[in-house]
Amino acid sequence: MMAMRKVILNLVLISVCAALALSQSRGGNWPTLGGDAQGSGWEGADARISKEKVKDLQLLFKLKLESQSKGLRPLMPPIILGRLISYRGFRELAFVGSNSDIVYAIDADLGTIFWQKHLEYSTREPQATSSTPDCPGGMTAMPTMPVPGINGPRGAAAPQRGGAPAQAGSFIAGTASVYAISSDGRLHRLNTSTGDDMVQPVQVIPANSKISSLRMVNGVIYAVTSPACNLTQNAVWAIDLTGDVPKASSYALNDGELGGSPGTVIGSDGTIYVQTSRRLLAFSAGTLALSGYFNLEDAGADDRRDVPAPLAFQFKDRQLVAAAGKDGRIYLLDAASFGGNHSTPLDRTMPLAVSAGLSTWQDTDNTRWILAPVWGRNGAAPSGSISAFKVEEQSGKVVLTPAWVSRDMASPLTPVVASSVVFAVSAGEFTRERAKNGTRATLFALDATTGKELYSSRNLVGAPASLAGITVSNGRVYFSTLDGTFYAFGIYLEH
Amino acid sequence: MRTLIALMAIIAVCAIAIGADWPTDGGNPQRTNWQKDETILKTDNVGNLKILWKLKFDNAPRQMHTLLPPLIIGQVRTATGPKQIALETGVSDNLYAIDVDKGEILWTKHFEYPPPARNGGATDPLCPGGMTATPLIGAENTAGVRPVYVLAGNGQLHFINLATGEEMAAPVQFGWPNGKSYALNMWGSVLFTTTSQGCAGNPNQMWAIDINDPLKKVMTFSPKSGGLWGRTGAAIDSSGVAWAPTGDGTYDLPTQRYGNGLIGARIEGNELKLKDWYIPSNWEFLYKKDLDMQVTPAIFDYKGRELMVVGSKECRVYLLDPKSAGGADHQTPVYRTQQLCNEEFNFAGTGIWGGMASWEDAKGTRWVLVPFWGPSHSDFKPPVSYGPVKRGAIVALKVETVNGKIQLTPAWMSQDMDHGEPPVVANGVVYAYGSGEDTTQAYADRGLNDSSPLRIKASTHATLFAFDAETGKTLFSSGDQITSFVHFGGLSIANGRVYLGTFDSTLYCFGLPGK
Repeated sequence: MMAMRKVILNLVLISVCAALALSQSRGGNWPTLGGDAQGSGWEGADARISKEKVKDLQLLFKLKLESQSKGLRPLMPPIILGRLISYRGFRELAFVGSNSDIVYAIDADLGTIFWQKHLEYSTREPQATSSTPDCPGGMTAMPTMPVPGINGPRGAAAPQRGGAPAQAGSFIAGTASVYAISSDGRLHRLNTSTGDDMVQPVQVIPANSKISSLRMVNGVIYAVTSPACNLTQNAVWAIDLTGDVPKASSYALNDGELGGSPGTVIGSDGTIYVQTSRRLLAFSAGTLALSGYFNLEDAGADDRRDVPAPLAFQFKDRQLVAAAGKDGRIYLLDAASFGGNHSTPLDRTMPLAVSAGLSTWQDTDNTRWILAPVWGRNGAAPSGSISAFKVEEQSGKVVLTPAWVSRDMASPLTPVVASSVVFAVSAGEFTRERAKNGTRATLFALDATTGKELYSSRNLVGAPASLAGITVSNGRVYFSTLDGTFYAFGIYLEH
Repeated sequence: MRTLIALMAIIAVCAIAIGADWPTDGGNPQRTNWQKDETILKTDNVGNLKILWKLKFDNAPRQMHTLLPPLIIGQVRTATGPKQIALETGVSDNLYAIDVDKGEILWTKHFEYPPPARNGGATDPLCPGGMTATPLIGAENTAGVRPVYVLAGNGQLHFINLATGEEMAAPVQFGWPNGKSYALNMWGSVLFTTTSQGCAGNPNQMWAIDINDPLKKVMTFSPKSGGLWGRTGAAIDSSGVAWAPTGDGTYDLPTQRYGNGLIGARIEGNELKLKDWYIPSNWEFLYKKDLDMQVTPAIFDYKGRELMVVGSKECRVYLLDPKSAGGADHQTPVYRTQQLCNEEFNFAGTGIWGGMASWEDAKGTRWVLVPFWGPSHSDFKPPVSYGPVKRGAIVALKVETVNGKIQLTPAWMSQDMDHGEPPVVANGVVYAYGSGEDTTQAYADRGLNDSSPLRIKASTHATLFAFDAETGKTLFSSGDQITSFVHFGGLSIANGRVYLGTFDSTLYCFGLPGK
């Protein structure tokens, strides 16, 4: 009997180890902007990336994709499906949205296009033909896949709202899929193997709106429209897919301008956070009932500049929220009290001209870090930099402690983190409306605990970066440039 | 000269009279699938092949499995005189001994046991349960009996008298019920098998048992991989090392994981010990794409040096030296071909599946025969081919020494066939079949859905081909004479007859009428 138990135990151990090995080598997902519901930008441990290996990073492939030369985000950062068992084989796919209303599925291992789908403009409202920096037109919403991780670690099964199983509506029943909203405001559910619409697309947001990146949690897709393109109200949207047909509801954001919003982030308790130029707002999941707000200092100048996305993260037993205000400061808030009197944060930094969004990660000592892209002089970095802060408790208070400032960068994008390595893109020099002539992007890898430069792509990238963001997943870092080129850097995997 | 010719004639007559054998899957422990003793079928008459007989058995399919390749003994002492016997194995624990001259069943045997508690999934082709290991016929013992070693679906090893079907000794446990064992192989008195896919929760490993051991100790070695599912189990080299592909899995020495590679193990004392291994340098890619190493190697002599070939779903052929497979780093083969097929790196329906073959022609040229499924690779352009290959084919490679290095040189690619299966070769003729099996495991609208009912419904029928072994020219095709498909079956050949069992439990015997 003992021998039998030993055999069974060994079998169980083998199964567990096999499952772990599988999860380590066959790839995880990066299903939305920032990689998770909280928008952390943190992949966690990546089996192919380490501080030691990252010096061997190389340009794995680049692809010129169809896009329109308008706006500063012609291509969006990819969402990653680490393992699709398709009728054409096992695939790791990077889904890239283009402002030409095209979704590309790129084979991340081979650097080839697996499929591409043009999302036809099909609504009564004529397609916008004009383009401005604020309202560039075309598809602006970064696609999404269902995002796990609410009330659990990345990859855990997401609980259903209200504790009850979600209804299997036609937009969520069956196999995994990619969700995209085309420029006509229609929601598409795309087959990951073919790119085909799995159901008839449904109008959910007015056509020609500027829609933020999408984030789908528990059968609901959240997004933000701003800044009133085609007279669409500034609003946060919840598109509920759990019923027979998608049902869109919204909450108007009249309190402060949004500029271009990167969208929502979602706390571990399901709370939806959206930032305007003057406020950080909290909403109940699904219903979009306002549950709290915090008044940010309004810098007053350049009010329509893009608003960064906030961050939600766990610090010990507390849920914290960080936001970069228009005054350039980072505000740290307790989600439970949300600023108390709506204007007193746990802590705030000195003005830093933080642009783009924040990201966060936690090291093996459980130290929580916040990373901020700074546009403009910051200490010894004259053009811009990544600034790292530790979230610490000092004398019973939670504070942000400056840790390091990176090398000089021009207009850095929101960084991402994997295996204690920060990946940052110096996007190039920009004016308010466009990139300066001759400027180009550079990818850097930095030691996440010291800021030391570990890798530079030097002159491998030929154009300034799209300001939409960076993705890191399964040993590869992705971003794109304004000329519509999609770049993948990583550690080479022999074919 | 006259003496020499007379001697050769006498040898040939003796060979016919005594009869050639096919006593194990793949024909021999090295799994070359080469019938050296064939004299009846040859390139100039094989075009006249006919169905000599076909027998439909009462063997119920399990999932997609039905019949395993028959074993042949040219001359078996029976109570009614010497007979040539084919032993057919049915997955539902059935044995059928056939008098091949008459096409009649001599005896049948069914292994009864309580249904195992653990089974595979209801429609899972990977884990059919039942008797999945091709038996093995041992040498004649001192009593003139040919013992058959049979591994029943409950994991019990039986010892059967080939002439009568009677049990010669009490069975012993050599595996787990429904554990999906693969073809038995034998070195000395040690039987080997392999298991895969963790069927019914059973471990994936290499197994060995010494039939002369009074304790019948079961010895195992696990590479901690997804399964050792080479179609014909392990191949054994001249030093007794059993080589088996490890299927899916990771390679990690600290935890002794040898996935997506080839392991060699042999008996030391009363243990089965790992002796050597080979892991392709791109194993991570293979693992990620589920391009398992799952081909039983073929081991052969090349100019006095033992070599072996193995492949994977990726559709490359690796040439290895069993004395040091993969060299010091275990990742450097003697030679690696380009991809012959599977340009899209699909895990299903393309690539090399099952086994390979090797033979040597009269001029001493060593050949390797590689079956594959799916379209040929657009960059693979052999010097001789017979039209576009869309569904599968056989590729012939020559083992050559060029500038002091041994390589595999493409010689020919056969005509298109519906899933090229492991061939056999005899007397200058290559026999191969397109299985007609539907190998779809994933669908555009549903993703992964590997379902036996769906695949059975979409399968067609097998087709037997004979090719000129030196040119690849088609000499014979059975057309639509075979009416059912084949899943993980195989060819056998001896004494002018070629055998193939199909899903509908029918065994076809092709040969030349009157020969």
